[in-house]
Amino acid sequence: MDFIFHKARYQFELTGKKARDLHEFLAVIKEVNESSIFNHIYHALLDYHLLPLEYPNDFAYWIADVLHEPVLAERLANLDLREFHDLEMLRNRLINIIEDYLAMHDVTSRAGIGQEFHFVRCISVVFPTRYAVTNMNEALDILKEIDLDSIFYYFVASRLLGGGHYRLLSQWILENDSHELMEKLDNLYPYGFANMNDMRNEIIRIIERYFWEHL
Amino acid sequence: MNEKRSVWEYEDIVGRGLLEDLESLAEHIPGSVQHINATYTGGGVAEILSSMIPLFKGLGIETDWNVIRGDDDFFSITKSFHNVLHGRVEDAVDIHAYKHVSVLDDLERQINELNQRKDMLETYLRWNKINSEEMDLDYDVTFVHDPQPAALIDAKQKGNWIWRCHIDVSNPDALVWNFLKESVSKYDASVFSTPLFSRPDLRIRQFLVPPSIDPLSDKNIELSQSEIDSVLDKYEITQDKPIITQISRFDRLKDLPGVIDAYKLVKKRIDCQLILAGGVAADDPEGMGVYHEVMKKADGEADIHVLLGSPPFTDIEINAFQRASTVIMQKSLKEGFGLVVSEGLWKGKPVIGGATGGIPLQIINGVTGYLVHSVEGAAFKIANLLKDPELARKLGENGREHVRNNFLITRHLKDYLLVMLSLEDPSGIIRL
Repeated sequence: MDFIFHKARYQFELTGKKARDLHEFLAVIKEVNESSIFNHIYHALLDYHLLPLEYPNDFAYWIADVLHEPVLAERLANLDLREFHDLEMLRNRLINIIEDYLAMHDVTSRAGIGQEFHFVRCISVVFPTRYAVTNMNEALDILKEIDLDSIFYYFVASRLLGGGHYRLLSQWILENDSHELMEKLDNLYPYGFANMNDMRNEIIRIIERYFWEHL
Repeated sequence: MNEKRSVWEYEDIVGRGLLEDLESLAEHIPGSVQHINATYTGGGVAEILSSMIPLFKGLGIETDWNVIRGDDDFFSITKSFHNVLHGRVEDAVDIHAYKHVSVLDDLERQINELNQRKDMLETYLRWNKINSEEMDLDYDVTFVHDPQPAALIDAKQKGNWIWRCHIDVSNPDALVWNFLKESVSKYDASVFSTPLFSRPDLRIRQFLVPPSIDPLSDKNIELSQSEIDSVLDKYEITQDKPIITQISRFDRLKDLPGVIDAYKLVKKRIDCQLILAGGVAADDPEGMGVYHEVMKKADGEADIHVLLGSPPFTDIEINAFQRASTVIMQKSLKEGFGLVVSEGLWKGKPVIGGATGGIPLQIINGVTGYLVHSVEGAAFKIANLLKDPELARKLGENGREHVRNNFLITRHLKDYLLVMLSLEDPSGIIRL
């Protein structure tokens, strides 16, 4: 059966919610749309800079840069995203980290005008690419050349935001290959990679190694 | 404007992936699209639409670009709107001046002002009505740019209407904003360049689409060394020492005296020269005054080139000034988006700018340039970059990549397609 690779492009939309201090920030984290949490934590994976940025997500960056709370920023920067299989788990972890910090620290700093944190959600527009494959060898070749937005869509966005295509990819791999390969891919989570290209290389390495071991 | 342009002309610059996506997304755009603004020439909006409309057409989307008409009174009023919405009350002048209404103002003055404003608001609405009667508004998607044509929404016949706001309305004159909001609230959605420019009291959807530069326009296209030399020769600028450049209008908010002070501090240690090139806005009575102040401050400094573009510099000349530079400045005290920063970064130059408006989105401090808060800070960073060409090269290279990924016309086009598609389904995941 042919498998058609899909991808998504993202449009950003203001949620209308913003925070000027850590208490307001926490209150919004508790209620804001999941796609806003996703956007602020993960979008940096698709931003490319030749020099690494100090913090890997928007929350950590704002808390360090504007609220001048580097300890909390570092805690939020070092989230192990492998722990989170859905965005509600991630939201709860963010809430716990901030509440724990507030319990131990008197945080009074407040953002100046123009420095507020604006919560932005992303709209996913999902569409098929021109890449269709019939077996894993062809899929491997495509994974080597398909653009990074597709990798991000399958292995990050589709798993967390929905869209269903990671599930379809899983089913296709299970039908064509094995449960074991899918398990290895399931255990792949984006943080720990400097960028999406490194993640692509790891996906290719996993598949190639699997093929080598099962020749 | 009937010409088409293929997005594939940008393939060498942005790669195949984005261009394939543009074609895929365009296939799903329903029907016809219209863009409406106030002018075909002059200013950033017209510049962007000049590049954008042929690309829309090249993607097979039936697209028209139309402008509204009005008399001098109308455009004078909309200019005042622009100034007070943009938080630049000091620029609002003459009989059409608006001022923030203070509780301390005496009642009679407030009544006079409100009456004067009432006349203006009526003139604004009258010209929008005239235009709505004369224009074909029968499109599936209508983008209305900035405040001038915003009240056309009252004549909406069909389709989705999107108000595209290019200016910073985060701190507007309350009366003018509340008046404008009556119209804007009737749109299906709005688009702002950055969250910083948006409004919390707007209840319609607010999308984010930063502006962009066109890498194939005269202002940004690659130039040969001989083309650069020829422009610098024309203005009698030698290239025997590093050049620091700020391209900006002669406007107090661009802090040109601060740029000169920073240059003078650097000059004590490193031999270099400074180009300050720009024009004076026709509607800015202070502009010539600022120019003369700058000339006076530069008096006796042979290596400061204060260039007044009159007639305005050509885009190729601006391009050449930027490409001849070692360091580019945009030391604004207040700024809109400040796309001139992206122009500099795209040319592989490190840019030093004030942390205001859209500049911090373009200058990632220490990665694509430096954000500075004082004359001394600017001087220190200029000197660092002049002393360390490898650092300057690296920042410039990063800056070019940052612009390639975020501030080119092809990304802007993609965003407009996504906004149109997003309107079809508010769920957050749209499957084509």
